[in-house]
Amino acid sequence: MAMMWPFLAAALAVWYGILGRRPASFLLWVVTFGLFVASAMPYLPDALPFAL
Amino acid sequence: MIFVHNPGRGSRFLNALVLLGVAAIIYFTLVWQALFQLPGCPMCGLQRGALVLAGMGLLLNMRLGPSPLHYAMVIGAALAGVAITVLQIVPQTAASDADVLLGLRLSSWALLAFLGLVLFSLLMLAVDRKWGDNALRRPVAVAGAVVMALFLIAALASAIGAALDCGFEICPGTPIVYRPA
Repeated sequence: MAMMWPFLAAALAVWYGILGRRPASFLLWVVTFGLFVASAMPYLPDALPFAL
Repeated sequence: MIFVHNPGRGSRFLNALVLLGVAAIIYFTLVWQALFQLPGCPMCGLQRGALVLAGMGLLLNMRLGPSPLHYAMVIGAALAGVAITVLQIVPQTAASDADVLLGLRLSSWALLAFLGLVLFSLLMLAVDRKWGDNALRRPVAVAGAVVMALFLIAALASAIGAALDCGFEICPGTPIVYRPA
């Protein structure tokens, strides 16, 4: 997924935060978090470099 | 019930200072990347994203007053940033070509910043407990409004930076590969 979209969602969440609308801001924060996790998937390693 | 016009002023001021620091870090990384014309770095973008996510909790603390939910947002985002940064640092320890600032790799500075955000939120959760949790809008001074505007511009600048680096598709970057020792 393009890295730009989570930042745009984040900017929208910041805007709602500035307006003082917490439910909308928090919901967009959760969506943004999910978008960043989806963006991170192609770059994450299959296995950790150490044994847990 | 708290009948104070402007509750949590001190902690909101501290949150504003930390938010200013977060915005400054985002601007610094964008300028650093542009100045040295570094290639697109997906992990750096993800770290910037974690900073933006953490900053949102700080911003809500400023705008609506301190709340455990807002500090939880900061801690959650900072821990995600720690995870991403550690994944970036581990392969860099074997290589010596990483960018260094004041004796530390940039990713190590990022790790310190994320750990600092976790520590700040933990301390504030322990000390700043008397305001409870509500979502009433608080008056924000001009300086506070400027900090929030700077943070909004930082988020938008990050989006523009990501678009310039990666376009509308998956960012061209190699996945982290760990070689067995």
